[in-house]
Amino acid sequence: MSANIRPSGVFDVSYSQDISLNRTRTDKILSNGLFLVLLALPLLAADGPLGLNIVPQAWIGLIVRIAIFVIAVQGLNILIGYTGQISLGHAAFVAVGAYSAAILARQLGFSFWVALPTAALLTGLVGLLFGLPSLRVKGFYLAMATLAAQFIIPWLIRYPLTDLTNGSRPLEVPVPTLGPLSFAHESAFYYIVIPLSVFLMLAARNIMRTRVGRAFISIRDNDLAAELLGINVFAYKLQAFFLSALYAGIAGVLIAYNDNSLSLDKFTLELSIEFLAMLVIGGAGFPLGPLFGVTFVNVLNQEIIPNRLIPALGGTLPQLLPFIDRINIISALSPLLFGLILVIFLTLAPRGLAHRWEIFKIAWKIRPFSH
Amino acid sequence: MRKLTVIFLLVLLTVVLPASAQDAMPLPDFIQHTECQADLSGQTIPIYHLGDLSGAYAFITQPLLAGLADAISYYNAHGGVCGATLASNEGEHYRDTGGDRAQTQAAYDNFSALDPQPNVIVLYASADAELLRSQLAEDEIVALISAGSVEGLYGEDAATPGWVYASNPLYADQIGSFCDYVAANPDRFPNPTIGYISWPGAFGEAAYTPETIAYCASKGVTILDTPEYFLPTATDITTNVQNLTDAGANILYTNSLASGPFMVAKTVVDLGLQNEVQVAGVNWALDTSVGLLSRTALNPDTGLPAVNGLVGSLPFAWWTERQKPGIALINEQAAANQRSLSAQNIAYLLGWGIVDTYAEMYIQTVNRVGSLEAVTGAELKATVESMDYSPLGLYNFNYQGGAIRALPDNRIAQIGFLNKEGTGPAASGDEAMTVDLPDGTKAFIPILIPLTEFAPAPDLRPGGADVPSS
Repeated sequence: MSANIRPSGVFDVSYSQDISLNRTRTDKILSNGLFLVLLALPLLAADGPLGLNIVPQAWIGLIVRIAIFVIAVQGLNILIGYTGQISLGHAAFVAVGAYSAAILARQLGFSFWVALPTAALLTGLVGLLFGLPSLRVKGFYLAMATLAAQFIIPWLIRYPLTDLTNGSRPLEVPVPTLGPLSFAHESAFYYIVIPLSVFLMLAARNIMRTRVGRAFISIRDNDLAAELLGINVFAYKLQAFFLSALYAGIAGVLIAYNDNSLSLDKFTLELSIEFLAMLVIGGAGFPLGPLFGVTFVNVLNQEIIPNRLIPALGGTLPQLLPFIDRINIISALSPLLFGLILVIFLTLAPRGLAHRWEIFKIAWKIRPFSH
Repeated sequence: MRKLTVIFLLVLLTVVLPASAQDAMPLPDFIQHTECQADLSGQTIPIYHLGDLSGAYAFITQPLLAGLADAISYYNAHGGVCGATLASNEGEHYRDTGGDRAQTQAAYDNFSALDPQPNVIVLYASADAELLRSQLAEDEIVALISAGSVEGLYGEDAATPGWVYASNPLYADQIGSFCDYVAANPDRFPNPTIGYISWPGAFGEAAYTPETIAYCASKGVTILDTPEYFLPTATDITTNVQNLTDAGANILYTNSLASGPFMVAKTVVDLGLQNEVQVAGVNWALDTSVGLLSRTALNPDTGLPAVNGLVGSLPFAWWTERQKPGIALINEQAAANQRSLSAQNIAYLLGWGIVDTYAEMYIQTVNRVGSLEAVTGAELKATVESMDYSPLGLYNFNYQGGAIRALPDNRIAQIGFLNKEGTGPAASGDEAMTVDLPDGTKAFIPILIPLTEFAPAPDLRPGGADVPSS
């Protein structure tokens, strides 16, 4: 990993330097600068206080959705990427967070700031419960066991808890506020989501550098060897499930408050698979994998294909393929292009975009001795 | 030379004038738009729409695109809207969401951030209406949708009309209409017991509510309290059907479309229950796609597709009602544009209805505010809540007063298949007209036979006027 590689001639001379996340001055400037740029974006959008319209307003909503999904996929990264435990029930955990927060806010009058950690902890506990089978099964069998969450949790939300959750009907979620400040507008909600997402990304990265994180990695690489070394495999697996579900819960709370409306339709098995796909595309086991994967899939699906490729191809393809009904071509374009681009990327970067990024960073750091 | 120039100009005028007149042929007399008081020539009225074009709803939504495209071409060739051109281009004015909520939100964000912001958006799915309901109100954008859920149109309290207007009755009200029909026909439905079998989700579960159960019970129709749900991708729903029939259901009602009603009817036939169980459903259950999907799943008693006899809501005019000039025009245009049998469905009709409604909405609003630039979502909403118009005679677009968001008129109809003479429904497969399809199979021609006249569906929103007091 590039974390251990310094540019030629740069050496760590202190412990704090050795453990810092940003190993060089350039790293620090770039990461802090990027964060500041991110924070400035809503100010430059049409709905911002300055009304500048430099940044398209639609980008703000897109970035918020990306940041929320990054949190959810980071949770999956902890479980799959670092601990090697497959889960197909992640969307159900997101649903637990979302519904818990909505119920806490509606029934008990919790503010967003109290509902967020409470719902996250509750989701973590539910994750713990579904992590229990990991003691006995692994691999595909564990995937099947976690798949149960994807059926049990929506069933519980739909039927036994219908008085609280509205069942399959939508559930309205109040607007988050802080004193007189309202976060109703997405540009305002942005300032909750982005710092939280960055914090949780850093937290995930730091967790992996702790005793717990190293135990996770040892379990992923060889759980038998880890056990022989004295690592309590089951306890650590449960911790991984707890953390993963905690992240999912936070993402769920943010989804609920961002949409101001909840519906079970959102938390389907397809979403669980989508999370998995984002992680694979981004790079499982890399701290930046979720960021790359989620950004790639969302920007591709929500910006590049509909706003760039389809307008460009929509005019020419029907002329090139006159034997196919134009309507059929247009409606097939979106999934077709998405699938095609995914295949190309996975062929070129099978270990994920984050791995490509690491290679690029290493080559840059050790220049001119990159060969 | 001057003589030559004059002759040339005269020739040019004789050629160009008829050509111009031909470019702007008048609309037929039966399309009774309000007279334009402003000339909008050279301007464009975009029709924005977003929805699932490639997911589970594709059977319905793809023909909508065809309907919109053909209608837009037709109206533009007939002078547009007071001279303005209607437009709907892929990528620019419409977006495929694949049925994904995040993509719906992204598409909406994209549209609502446009300058100028759209004043009207066409939506396809109940779930989209539910998701965007508060945002549409905040952004003051009117949304037109075919049919919707209580929450999408009236909010969680069922009493707050939003900015979404549905041209079909609410799904809850449709099952109420069906119960009225069942109660009125005790000979056909003795001891009626409905088993609710549908897709999970906002759309599929929209008709199974405490209010519909209470209303049907008040009419002597029992709805079992054990609904069954199956995914649109399910290939075997035998257990779901058996659970309901074992519990006593002799009617299976589905709030699904395309493969949904087909799967229910096919399973009933596979189980040999076709003479004991009536399959029924929402308006989408009567769609052409259902009849076409059933072409190879035949009822052994009749040799007709399993969906033959399926009963459901038909809250608009249908393709076979050619005596209506609007339906005749749509048939003519579908033929002229070589639309396939599968494209000649509900959504294609509604596409024409939407375009004609758009035209009238804009004419009335521009007449009131003076120019196209002055038209806002709020002004269009005011128009919608004051106009009484029947787009091409398909249905009555009347939300006057602003209290309702779903048109109440409904009737019950049944699926049949055209006989060889083309005069009515066939009694058996041997008597039915068939068409050879490219895949080597034969398609029976689905038709709809109205069983009742149009009548207001009961209001079964929570707290609605027709909900029995407990």
